[in-house]
Amino acid sequence: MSFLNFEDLNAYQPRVAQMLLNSFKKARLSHAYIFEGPRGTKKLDAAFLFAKRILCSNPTLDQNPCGKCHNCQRIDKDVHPNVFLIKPEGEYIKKDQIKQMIGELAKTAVEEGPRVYILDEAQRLRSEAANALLKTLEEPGLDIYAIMITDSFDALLKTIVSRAQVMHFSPIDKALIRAHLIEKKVPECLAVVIPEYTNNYEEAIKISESEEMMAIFKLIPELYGMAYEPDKSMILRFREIRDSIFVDTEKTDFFLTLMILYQKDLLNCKLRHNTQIVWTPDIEQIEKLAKGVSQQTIEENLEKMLTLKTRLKFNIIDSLAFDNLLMNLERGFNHAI
Amino acid sequence: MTCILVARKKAGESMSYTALYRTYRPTDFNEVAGQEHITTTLKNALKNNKVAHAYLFTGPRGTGKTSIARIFAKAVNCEHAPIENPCNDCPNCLGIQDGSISDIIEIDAASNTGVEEIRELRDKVKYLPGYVKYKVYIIDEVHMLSTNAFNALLKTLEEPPAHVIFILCTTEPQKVPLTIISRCQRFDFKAITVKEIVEKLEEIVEKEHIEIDKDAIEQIALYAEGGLRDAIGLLDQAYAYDPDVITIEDINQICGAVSFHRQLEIVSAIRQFDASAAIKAMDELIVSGKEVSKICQNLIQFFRDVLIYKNVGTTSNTSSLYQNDDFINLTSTMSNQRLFFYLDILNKAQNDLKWSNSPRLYLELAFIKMTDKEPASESHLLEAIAELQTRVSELEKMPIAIETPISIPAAAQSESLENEVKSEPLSEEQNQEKTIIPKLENQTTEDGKIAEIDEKITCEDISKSYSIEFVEEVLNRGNREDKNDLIERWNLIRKNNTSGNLTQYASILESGTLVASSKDKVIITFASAGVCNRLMKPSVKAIGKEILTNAFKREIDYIALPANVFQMISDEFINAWKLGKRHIKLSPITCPDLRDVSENDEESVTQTEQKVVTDAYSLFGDLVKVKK
Repeated sequence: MSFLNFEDLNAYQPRVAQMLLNSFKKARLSHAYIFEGPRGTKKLDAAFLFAKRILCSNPTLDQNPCGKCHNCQRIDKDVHPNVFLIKPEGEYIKKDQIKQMIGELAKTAVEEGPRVYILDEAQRLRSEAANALLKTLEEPGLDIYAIMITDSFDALLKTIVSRAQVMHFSPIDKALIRAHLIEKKVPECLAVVIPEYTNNYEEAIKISESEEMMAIFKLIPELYGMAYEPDKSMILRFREIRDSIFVDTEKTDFFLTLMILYQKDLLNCKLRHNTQIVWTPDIEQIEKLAKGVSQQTIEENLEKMLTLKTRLKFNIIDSLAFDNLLMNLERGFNHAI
Repeated sequence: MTCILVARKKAGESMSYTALYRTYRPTDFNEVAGQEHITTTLKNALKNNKVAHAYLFTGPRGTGKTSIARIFAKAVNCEHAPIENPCNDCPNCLGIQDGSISDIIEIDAASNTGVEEIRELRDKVKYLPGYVKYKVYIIDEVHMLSTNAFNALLKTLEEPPAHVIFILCTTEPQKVPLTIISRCQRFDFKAITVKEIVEKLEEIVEKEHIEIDKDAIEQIALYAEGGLRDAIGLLDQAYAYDPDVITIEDINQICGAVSFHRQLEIVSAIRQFDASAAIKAMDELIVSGKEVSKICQNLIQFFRDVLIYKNVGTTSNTSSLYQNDDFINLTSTMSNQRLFFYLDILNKAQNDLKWSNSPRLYLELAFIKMTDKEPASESHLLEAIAELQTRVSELEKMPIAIETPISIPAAAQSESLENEVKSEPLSEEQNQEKTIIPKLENQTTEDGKIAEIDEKITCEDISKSYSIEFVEEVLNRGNREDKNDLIERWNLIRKNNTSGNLTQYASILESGTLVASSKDKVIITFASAGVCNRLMKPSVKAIGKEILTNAFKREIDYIALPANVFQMISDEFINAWKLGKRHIKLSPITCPDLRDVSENDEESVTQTEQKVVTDAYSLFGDLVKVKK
């Protein structure tokens, strides 16, 4: 789904829409932008809208692309020769990709008119690739525009950031997604949990419909419940079911996110922030668990989980990392028994 | 049709706009912001015709490396050379400026990293320049060259032909081999100071006719972190964002930064140990489009400002911050220790969240840690002591007024003392009665229906075990903070009682819920009345008290009540409280399942049992198996 005009963008990202619109109105376009914000905040869609507006041969008076001309339609179909979309090949955007693009930009355009290149997941630029981009980014030829899209802004090179205008895409209000999910007859507890994981409507609904994801969802309270019972073991149970979790990175990430949320609930319960507890149907178990551990232990374990979540992005042995984590958790609950 | 053409033409105009930071690239040394130590040296070298053949410019982004390299290239080739500054008037200067003279060769080392490209460059070096005196090679981002490429450059760099000057620019000098560095004159560019950035921005603002507040300019300079390009880029963005006057709020909005007002809000929530308020404020900020990393950075900056204000006072920095009353009030309540404690946590969080894609949780955790009283106890104590000291000294200053103000609390105190005095004989009485009451009346709770029927008849009597006075006292003198504190450390009950038969009772006690506390007396509720009866048995109660003492390191007496019974009592209490009564008297406890457990023979039975067992052990050793 792509935006038709700036009013559509305005519904999601009013600030960004206003800034872009004003730049068009005042004819002060920057030659390089960074669109940054969490997943599902419509960054790529906004980039294509921008490209359409620049290339449209017949823009409306209120700065919207017409959507009907040859250029607009070709961008919609992703076949416009003056719009380059570069995505990571495998893990990274490689230097060869960048060099090829720079070579392309150095030549005369296939078609007359401005050219736009869009780098999706710019945080995955290898450092050589990013450096190779610097000179072109600072002083591109006439009528060349760059848009870099990223969800982890801090991972970009400082030298890249300094050459571009940064547009921050705010996360979509969780309450909206929650309301949306409840409307779709998703159970309330789930509707509270899922927005913590993703910021994207479509993805949220996809998750709520996936049976595998639901199985993982039900697993969390069960696993935690075992921490309290001396004759059961979280790790052993986890070993039984882990094949369903280590299918792909998405599931692993989902599982860990849910674990983190549950752990956070324990902390909230400990601090008596009861209104902030997400796992409301499970409140009894949470209270019971929270009573058995000190606040420090909960915090330490939460931190370990967060570190693991960061590490999951790199090449680590998932099963060992999770065993380690669960062992720590169980020890935290058991030390007094 | 004409209309369309106009629109197209307008669009065409928009395309030719160049970013402000490119428009305002300095054209001679005098326009360069900061870096006086470099421009002066270079000017003198130019004037005295002592130009080196290789330079290395290093420094952070946006500090003028490429700009100065270009100015230098113009100056050496200017028709009026030797001259301090390029004239920007002669054909040479103009030609270099617009890039039409091909003797100034700018190489992007990051996209030409290989040894092949450097060999090609080396081969071309020997040819004489076409138009001007010197061929100047500006190699930008030189740190990206491969090792082979660097080595291929070494000989040429050391002894180039007389008509060649190399200028290498990089942001990461540590990646440049020492053999390269030793062959160049090295210039380290410094981050540009806020003051210099402000001056430059004001100049541009005037030329471009941009309406902007002075505060906003300063804020831009602050966020640019020493990079002039960042600063001008930000100004450009702000100008595109808001057509009228640019204010500090616009800048905060664009940067996703937090306004001072909101910072103050979060910090005072943290100072009052209210993590949930701080987190709520943070959530609001995130929804309104702020970045977590920026919030964290802003808070660090805030605490730094507090530290500076506290220890250095208002000196040269005339930030408007230091004139804010709330800020000054807040500063006075925080000790250095506490500030260091906060800064440590925030710094760690900032490091961690950089690489994470769930940064919000990190900051939340940081807030919770900052508001946790336990680890901060040292600074906590110090602050408490400091506060006490000031109060003592204040009291010392007013010697006569002492009599009257104290008399009222004294009355209250005596009253509560009386209460205690009253309650003590009572318990003694209880004790006496316990011994008097015939043993047969008291049976263990595990007994059958007959006991229950008995119980219903005798349910009036339970006041001996379950004294309502105890409950009244706890509720009337209840202390919420203490209660919360105990609940927080409730898990210590099991943790600190791991020896012998304490473990069993500790786990029972821990399963209860603490509902009220008055420092030395607490009420604990349980789901079933049976447990209560067991725990209120004097022999068990002694153990229970010991357990609580072990756990919380102070003497605590308790009463165990079924949850439903306590609910009735607390309802009654609250109703009376709402009616405005104080020192509320409550009706005695009645509950069919509770029984008077003042004392019974079970204890002696177990004692004799135990004696038999120990005797058996001493006779037969480990062969003995005890069956219950």
